[in-house]
Amino acid sequence: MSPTSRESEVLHAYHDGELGTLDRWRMKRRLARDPAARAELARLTELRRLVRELATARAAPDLWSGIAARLGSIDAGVATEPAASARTLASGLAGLRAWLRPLAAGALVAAAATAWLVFSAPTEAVNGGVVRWLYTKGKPVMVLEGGEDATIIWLLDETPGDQTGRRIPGVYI
Amino acid sequence: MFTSDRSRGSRLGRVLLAGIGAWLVAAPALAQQLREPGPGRRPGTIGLNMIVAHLSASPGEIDPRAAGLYRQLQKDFRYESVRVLEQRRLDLQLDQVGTMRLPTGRDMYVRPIEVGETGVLVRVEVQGAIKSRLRVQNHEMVVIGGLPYEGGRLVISLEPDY
Repeated sequence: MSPTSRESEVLHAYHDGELGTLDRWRMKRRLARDPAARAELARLTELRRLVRELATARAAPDLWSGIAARLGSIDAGVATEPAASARTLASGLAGLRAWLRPLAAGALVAAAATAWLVFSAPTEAVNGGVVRWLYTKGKPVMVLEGGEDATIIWLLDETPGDQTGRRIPGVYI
Repeated sequence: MFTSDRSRGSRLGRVLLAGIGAWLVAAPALAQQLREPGPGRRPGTIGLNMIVAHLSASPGEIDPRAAGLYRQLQKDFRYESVRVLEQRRLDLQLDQVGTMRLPTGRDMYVRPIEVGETGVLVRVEVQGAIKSRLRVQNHEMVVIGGLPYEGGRLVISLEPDY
């Protein structure tokens, strides 16, 4: 594995939400200073958007207009909540002495960041499961993910015939 | 003797800055330590138990070292004998690449990317055959097989143990 492919691998994992907190943080730092990585991430995001568009293109138009209408009202409700919270927080802090403000804010930020680092679990891909990504250069492959059993990734021959001893009926091997 | 508000504020600022600096240095390591699982795990490494075996449809022995592997395969496959060609444990740090030479002459690469509550995210590549990213729970087996070898099939099992 060349360094380039490894970096690309981590970037894919970041894009899929499979990295832990520290790795996500490292990747964000890398993205901040590496235009090529940003471009690659943008390509992945665009690809996902296109796939989603293709997947949703079949939905009925009236369904989407209904959803859009609901989203608008939900967004409006969400937008008012932070403003109200900020006002409450500001009025509470106003009573503090001037030299205490930065100390309190610093402590708050540090505590929140520590809690985030310690307790945030890695974000899992939506599909879950063992096999998160698989590439076989176009060769046929069979994946058996089985709960308490082992996960089996079985490369199939491209020529017909029972060459693997597979027992499951109806599967071309 | 008295201390002015200004000098007291300056000292407080320095203490605050030093505290934030110390937190920035220590917090990532502390967070990682708190997430570390398992007493059996060698600090900072992920153990991966690997078995490379040959499956054959001809009747023969089931190598006891591959009994677990055979049990898993038995449910779906009908091979009659299993011969362990290599058994090895790789202790890898995160992002460290472990390499195994397969009997086919090709290499296999394994690299743990990240470890968390839902297992270890590991990158696996069998040269010329397969590239994959797997999320595997501790002591959960993943089998990669099907590669033709000596009239049978080559099979590789991978089991995190950390």
